[in-house]
Amino acid sequence: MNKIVKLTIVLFLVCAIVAGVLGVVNAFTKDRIEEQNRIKTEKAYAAVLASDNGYTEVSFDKTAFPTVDSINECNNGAGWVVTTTFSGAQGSITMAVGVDTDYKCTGISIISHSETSGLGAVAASTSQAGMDFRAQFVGQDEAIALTKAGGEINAITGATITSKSVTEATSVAIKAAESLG
Amino acid sequence: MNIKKQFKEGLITNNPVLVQQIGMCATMAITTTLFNGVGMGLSVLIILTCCNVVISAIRKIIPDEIRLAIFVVVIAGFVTIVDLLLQAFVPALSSALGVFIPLIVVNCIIIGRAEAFCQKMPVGASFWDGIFQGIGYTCVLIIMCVVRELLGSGRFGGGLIDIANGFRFTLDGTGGGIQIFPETFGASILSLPFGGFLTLGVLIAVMQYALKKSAKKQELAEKAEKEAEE
Amino acid sequence: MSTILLAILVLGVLGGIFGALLAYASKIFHVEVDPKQAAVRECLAGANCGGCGFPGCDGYAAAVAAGKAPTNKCVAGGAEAAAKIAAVMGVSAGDVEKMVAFVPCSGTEGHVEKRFNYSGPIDCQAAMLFGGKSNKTCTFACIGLGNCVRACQFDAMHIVDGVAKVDRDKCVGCGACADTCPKSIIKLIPESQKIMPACGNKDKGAKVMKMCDFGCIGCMKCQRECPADAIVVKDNLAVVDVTKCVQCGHCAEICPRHIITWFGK
Repeated sequence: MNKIVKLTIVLFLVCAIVAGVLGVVNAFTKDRIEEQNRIKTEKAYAAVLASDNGYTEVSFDKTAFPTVDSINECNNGAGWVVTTTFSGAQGSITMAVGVDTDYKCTGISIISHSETSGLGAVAASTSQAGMDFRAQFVGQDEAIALTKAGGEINAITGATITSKSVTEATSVAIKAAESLG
Repeated sequence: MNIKKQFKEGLITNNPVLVQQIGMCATMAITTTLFNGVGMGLSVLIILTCCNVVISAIRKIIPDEIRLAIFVVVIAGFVTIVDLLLQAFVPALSSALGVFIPLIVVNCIIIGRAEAFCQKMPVGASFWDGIFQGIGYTCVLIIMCVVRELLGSGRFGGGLIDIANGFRFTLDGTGGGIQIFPETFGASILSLPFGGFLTLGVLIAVMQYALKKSAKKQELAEKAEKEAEE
Repeated sequence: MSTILLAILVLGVLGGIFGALLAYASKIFHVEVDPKQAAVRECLAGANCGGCGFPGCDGYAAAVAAGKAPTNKCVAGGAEAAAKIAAVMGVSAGDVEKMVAFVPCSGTEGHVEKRFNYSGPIDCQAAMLFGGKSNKTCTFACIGLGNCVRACQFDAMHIVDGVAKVDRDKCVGCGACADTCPKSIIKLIPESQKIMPACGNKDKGAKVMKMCDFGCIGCMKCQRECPADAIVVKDNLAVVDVTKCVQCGHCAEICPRHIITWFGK
């Protein structure tokens, strides 16, 4: 009995002390971390639709648009940045789509993905092929589609599924912005 | 344990990655740019030293049955602290290293040294052990980063060095590095995990050869000494 | 502040629960370890050579602590270890007779007749499978492919000119080489015994002279001239009785084949 009590107390104390220290450190760094995260997301949004005085998240009908994570309205009234997570060829892709007040796409930026290097990953890469692919999305409206389906977007060579997913997700993003009314 | 001996051991004769062959997972995964390598190395050095000191300090009062549990709690505590600090002050390193910062909790080097060394040695020796093993680890990381980056993409100092406006160190990971030769001439496979395996394997082979040679040399010297005495 | 208190409470309670669990588990799974065993184990060299005849140092320590083994069995640790163990167990130390290995073969390269040229795995056992006994005409000869060298943990065995040779300075007498020799020709002799015929051939003298430049021919000169009647020829081979030998070395001097080794001479 004595041993059980001793071990219980020792482990309790060690864990309690460590937790206490962590709690203090967390309290010190919390605000700074929040600030860093805010800067990171704003940078990502600014890549698709610049807003010199920040973004405000607005609510939308989540059940109608399950793949949309958030809609952020530009404080300068330029439009919205819609973030969406959808399935690509190899896994989930998270993307930011800029939508202006005419409900036209101002640009897309892929935040995270697990697509195959050299194929689907080109959609996110900084190579010429990647930049050319993403440039096609500027000015498109919700009827955006691949050339195979009668639209104007040329798919990436060897990455039709990824290209299709990205195109469809952009369309959904624009529709979500439109649904705000 | 004298400090000079510990220095030699930590860096060369008992190097954690090349001789003890522990902590290799992170070594192969993150050594793609110099920024990652230096950042990870310093993080491990700090965590290792702090954990070594704490565990050595409480070694006499830890009951044997919960020894491992206490090690893990202490190590996890320090790793979380370092993780929070990195997220707050060097977010570029935090996102570059990603999941490998939490993985430091189960990094073999830290638990290994705690189990093998700090349990029996006083605080002073444990402190220096942490420092020198950490330096040894960082050196290996730096060598791997330099080799992989240079031969893989012709670059030196990616993320850490910026020559755009005169030479400077970028502590936020944005430096482009010095392009020694055009990227197209590099073997890009070195930037993939396979390249990590390959480079680490070669480094270990070189180190083992060097150690064997020096051991043989010492043996011959001792034999000559013995014969001279006779 | 409340988050800090919550963290302390949650992690502390979790730790406490696990501490209790571990304590309970250690009680259930408890293994009685004799503290004497640990103390004896500390006295041993730790090479796990098996020279004591027990499974490793832990095995010997357990046997000593249980009173089932004498304190002077550790050959690698020698008299020093025996004294320490005796002190731990509270008994007087027995004397340790240091044994060393000995290879009774002098059939070096160029001095023996070969039956065939062997070209196969460098393994004495493998060579025996092919030609039976050995590639040398003498069936008692050392094959010289080094199984004993590989078995020795103390770097005391080396192949010199095709015959295994013991480095008596490094040999601790664990007997690993003797166990591993597929022809079982390696013997353990007391280190104090300095005279030993380095041959195991039991064939008649005329045959031996054809097979090997050195082999014992059983001429009995040593037996006739030994002042202590310590060396006799049995089955055409000179054999030393270590209990009678006075280490005078006379037999080694007069042997016409120069087959008797005299260590230290």
